[in-house]
Amino acid sequence: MSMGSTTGAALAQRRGSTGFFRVWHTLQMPLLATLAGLLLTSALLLVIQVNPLDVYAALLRGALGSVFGISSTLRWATPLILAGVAVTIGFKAGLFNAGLSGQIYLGGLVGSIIGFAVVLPAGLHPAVAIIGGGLAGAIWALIPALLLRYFGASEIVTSLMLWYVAIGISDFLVRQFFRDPTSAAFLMSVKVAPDAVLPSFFPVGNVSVMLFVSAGVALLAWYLMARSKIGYEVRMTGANPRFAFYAGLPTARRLVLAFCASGFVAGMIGAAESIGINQRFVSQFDPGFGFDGFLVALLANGSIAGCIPAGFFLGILKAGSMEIERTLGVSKSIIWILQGSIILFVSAYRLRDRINALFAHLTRR
Amino acid sequence: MEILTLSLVSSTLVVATPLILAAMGGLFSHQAGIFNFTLEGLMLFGSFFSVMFTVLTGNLWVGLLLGALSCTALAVIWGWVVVDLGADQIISALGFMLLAQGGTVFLMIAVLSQTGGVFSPLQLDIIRLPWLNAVPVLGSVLNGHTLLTYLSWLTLPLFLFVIYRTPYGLSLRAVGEKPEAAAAAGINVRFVRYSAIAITGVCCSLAGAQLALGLLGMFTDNMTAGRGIIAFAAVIFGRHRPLQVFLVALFFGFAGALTDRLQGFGLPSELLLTLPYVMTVVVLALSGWRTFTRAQSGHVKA
Amino acid sequence: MVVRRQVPGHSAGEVRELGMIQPIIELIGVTKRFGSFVANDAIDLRINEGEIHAIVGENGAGKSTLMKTLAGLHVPEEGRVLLRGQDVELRNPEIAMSKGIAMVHQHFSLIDALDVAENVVISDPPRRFGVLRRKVAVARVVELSRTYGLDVDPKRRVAECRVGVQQRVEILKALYRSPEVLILDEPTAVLTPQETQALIDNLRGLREKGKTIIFITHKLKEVMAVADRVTVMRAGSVVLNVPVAETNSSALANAMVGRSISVEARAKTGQLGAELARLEEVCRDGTSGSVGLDHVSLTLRRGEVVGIAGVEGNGQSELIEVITGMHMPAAGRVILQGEDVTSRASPLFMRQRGIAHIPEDRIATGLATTATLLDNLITGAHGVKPIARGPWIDQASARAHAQRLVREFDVRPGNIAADAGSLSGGNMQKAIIARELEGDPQIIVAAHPTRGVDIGAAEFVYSQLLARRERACVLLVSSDLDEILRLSDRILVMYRGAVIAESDADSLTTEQLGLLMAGIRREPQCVADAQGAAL
Repeated sequence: MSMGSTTGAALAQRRGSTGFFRVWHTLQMPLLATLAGLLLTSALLLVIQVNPLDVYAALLRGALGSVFGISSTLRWATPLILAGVAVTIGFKAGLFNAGLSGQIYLGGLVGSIIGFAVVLPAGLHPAVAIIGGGLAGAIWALIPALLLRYFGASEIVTSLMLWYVAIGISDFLVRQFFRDPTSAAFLMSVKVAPDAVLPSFFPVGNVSVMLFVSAGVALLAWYLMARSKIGYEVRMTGANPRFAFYAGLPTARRLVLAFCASGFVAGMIGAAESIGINQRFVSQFDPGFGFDGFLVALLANGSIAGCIPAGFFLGILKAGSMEIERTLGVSKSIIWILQGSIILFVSAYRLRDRINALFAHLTRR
Repeated sequence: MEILTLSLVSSTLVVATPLILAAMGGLFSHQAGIFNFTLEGLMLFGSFFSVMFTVLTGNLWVGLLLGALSCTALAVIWGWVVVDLGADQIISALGFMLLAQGGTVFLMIAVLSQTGGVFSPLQLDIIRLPWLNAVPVLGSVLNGHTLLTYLSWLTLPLFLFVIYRTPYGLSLRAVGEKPEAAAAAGINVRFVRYSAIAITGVCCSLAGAQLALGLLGMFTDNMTAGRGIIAFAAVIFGRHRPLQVFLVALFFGFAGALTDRLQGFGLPSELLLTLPYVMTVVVLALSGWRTFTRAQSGHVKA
Repeated sequence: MVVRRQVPGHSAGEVRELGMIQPIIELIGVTKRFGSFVANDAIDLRINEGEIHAIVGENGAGKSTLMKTLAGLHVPEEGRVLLRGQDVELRNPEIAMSKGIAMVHQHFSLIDALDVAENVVISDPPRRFGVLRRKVAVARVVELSRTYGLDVDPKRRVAECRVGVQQRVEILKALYRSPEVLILDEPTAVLTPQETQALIDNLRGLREKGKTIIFITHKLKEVMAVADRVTVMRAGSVVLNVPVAETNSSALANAMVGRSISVEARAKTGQLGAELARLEEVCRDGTSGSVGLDHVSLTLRRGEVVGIAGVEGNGQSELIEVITGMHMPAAGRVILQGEDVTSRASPLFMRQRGIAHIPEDRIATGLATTATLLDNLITGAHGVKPIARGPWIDQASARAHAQRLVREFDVRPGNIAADAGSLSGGNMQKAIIARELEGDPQIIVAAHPTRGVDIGAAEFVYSQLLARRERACVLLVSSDLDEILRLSDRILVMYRGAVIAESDADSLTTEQLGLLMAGIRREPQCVADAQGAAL
């Protein structure tokens, strides 16, 4: 069965070109898919008699038109960049971490527990919480990685299933031991210590220093993957696992390592959301970062550093979608439809080939 | 033990129905060599469309039919993306899942002006066949299900027949194993693939309808909650062979029914709800060593 | 039109003598392109009714492409196809079959999971009310197999049939549609000489029954043995079209390669050196249903080329996997320079002990085609100085290393930043050899090193392997007997997972090798042994 390998192959269609053309080639499919998504959502909006241009204008206004909008965009970009990096690290190894959300969830649990149950110096507290959350995510990712390593079970399905398990375990633990007694219907933990809260640097909103951590993690992961021996071995294993095995690379260890690294980055997201935004563990706090990270990674088309701009792009969509709902009364589900159709089309390479052929045909005339 | 009563068997059949329908549908795509991960999205669309059309037409059967048609049309569109546009089957299926989540919410607001959920004015009737009670012991358990439950049992002999005893089934198996060879033998590979995906669409739509119209009597946001993924796991574990897939889906249904039952005994519900997923993972791990041979063994298939 | 059938009492042979030959198929100016590559360039070709027409040419000459056009698998960009003088458009295989043209493909197009009968009838299964009629299918296969003398068991699953049987199934599958023209694409590539002879007899039988046969091959001996007429293709064009009676092997060979070739005598070994590796009674299971290894023992010494001959799928791949550490033996010992390493074997370990491996499948195993040529050339070297610098890869050294290999092994185009997958087959092979021969390996395991490679590149590969012989041992696995005979000092024959014969290269003939590959040991000394035992 061709699971991880097709994912990797679909993302690595850059042949024999360098420099500008390579970048252009990398961007072609994401741009085309975005265009297809915009066409589909526009059609739906026209059906319900809403002008699509109004919607897209409201989207941009909501995301970039005010200080609050910008803060909202940055706030969402922070976890989205990391989610994209987490998925892309997996892609590089030819693996698909579809259970990102599970690792995020457990990262949130452990991060907040460190936040409220451990006493640490002020500067250190959030850092330890985020690293702890990352470790929780890495350990959770270790399970599908080992199941793949020793049983050959598809990491896509097992990690996705373990997402539901992570929710069950976390909610159970919070309800049993850490529940905020004042919370009534909603399940949430007690608040984290004030010194564990991530400091904010923006005049309004929830933009914490985590934004720089996110960008830093992306750049670090990119450098390690491109320049280190281990990164090289991970990349070669992802490009062709059979080749890597034949060539004597430690493929099994690299696959496990890459998957855990992906889980670590995912766990950081959960911890940062918990101590930075909610300042406690809140049940169902993840609004779908797993899917979003997947979309960021697809838009970045296999480039870890590319997750930074792609994360900002998706941050704009997320921040703007509130504005659409608020001012135009259009359900923000239209943004999910946009995202879904981008994912649907982003690997449809023959669409590009057909369009290229059409252009070639037209220009010949 | 009190929990292992006949009513557990009965609720197993109830919980398993959507899983069986979706998994049996899914195996058709896999038989044709299409790795169909859209079951979750298709089921969600199926739930919604069957409720929507029932609300709009006021007729349950028309609702079911139009629901199945719309769902099948969407399945075929996905088929176009993977068969003709060459998209990655898993990536595009995940996009389809998100499209289903967004699309159902959007349509619920746009068409039915509702948010969160929609009640259906009609529900699938429970069928009671007096002669079934004559079956010793299991008679009472086999009786009293919806039409779709009985239909889900019928899929087994029906699909066995279609796959192994018809020219279409021969083409299907040929296309799934060696598409180039099938093409060289004059088989229309695209037609076989599209038709298999369409059959998956019909079955998943009925699976969704059973959830919405058979069990709950309503549609709610994201109501399939991973059942399509469990059905997919059943297809993988059952190696897309009808009998195996049927039995695995039934087993997953048992896991679900057991969970429901244990909840009544005061055990923590959060943990219990993870049971079907844990079982799926365990089952995948145990079957994986044959279904996916990967890098570490040095034998990777394409 | 169908003259032959309206002349009662005349066999095909008589019709030929009566001078009623007419072209059944005529191609006029057929051109097929793939992107900018012209696979068939304005081909004109006439196939006469009732003849066996051989089409020969090197790999990539365009033979298969042309025949796929006739079978409806490719639609040509230009040109006409005439069937009995009428223009036809063979848009898909179904149309071609209904017009009486059937093709037996080079790579078997049988479906392993189906049984023989299902495979034969797959293009038009017997049915009633939409239900498959299995009994009718089986009866038809039995009947066909009797008519044409092609012996098969209709109820057996194809996966369980031997290669020679699969070939017969393949031919029956084509005959099932009662074609008038039967195209066979390299039907003897995977057969033993004895199976080949049986096939040739079958083809003669089919001709006697009035079928027209087109037969693609690159084995000239077969052409001379069976064909009535021969067409030679080179680089997408027809360069020669003559009756077989009017030509000979060397003329055809020259036409194929476009220059005179002379197979030069092999340079003989000098000194046999120390023992480098030894396998003792190694056993293992095969992967995915193929044969495993059955008590294989073998010794490799410095200074020799050891050839492993055998029909593909008789355990050669399994043997290579054991020697290169890719698969553990279930029993037996692997000894490197006197040290038992059986339990420690892994690709990494074997590479560290100086075993290089030129794998069977370039694209699936030998390269990461979606990674750059640079990344593909430094594998292995990336872990040692100067490329490795602490935990990092030194970019300048890596580039220098890759540039040097590209230069020394003449990999073209030598853009190390391009993806390895953008190279041609021959250049991929050069890149793999460049990487594998780096660092002076002790043992070079080369599996089918020239398969699908053009003659120039093949000569280069031979010279590289022979050049290493002084310092190392080369273990050569190939299904090409000429290659084995030309390079090897010592030849082992594998059959059903066992080494059934071992001999000096000089004392074996092609015929003997062929018998051995078919598992038949009928050498004089065996008879002598048997007599000795009887005494």
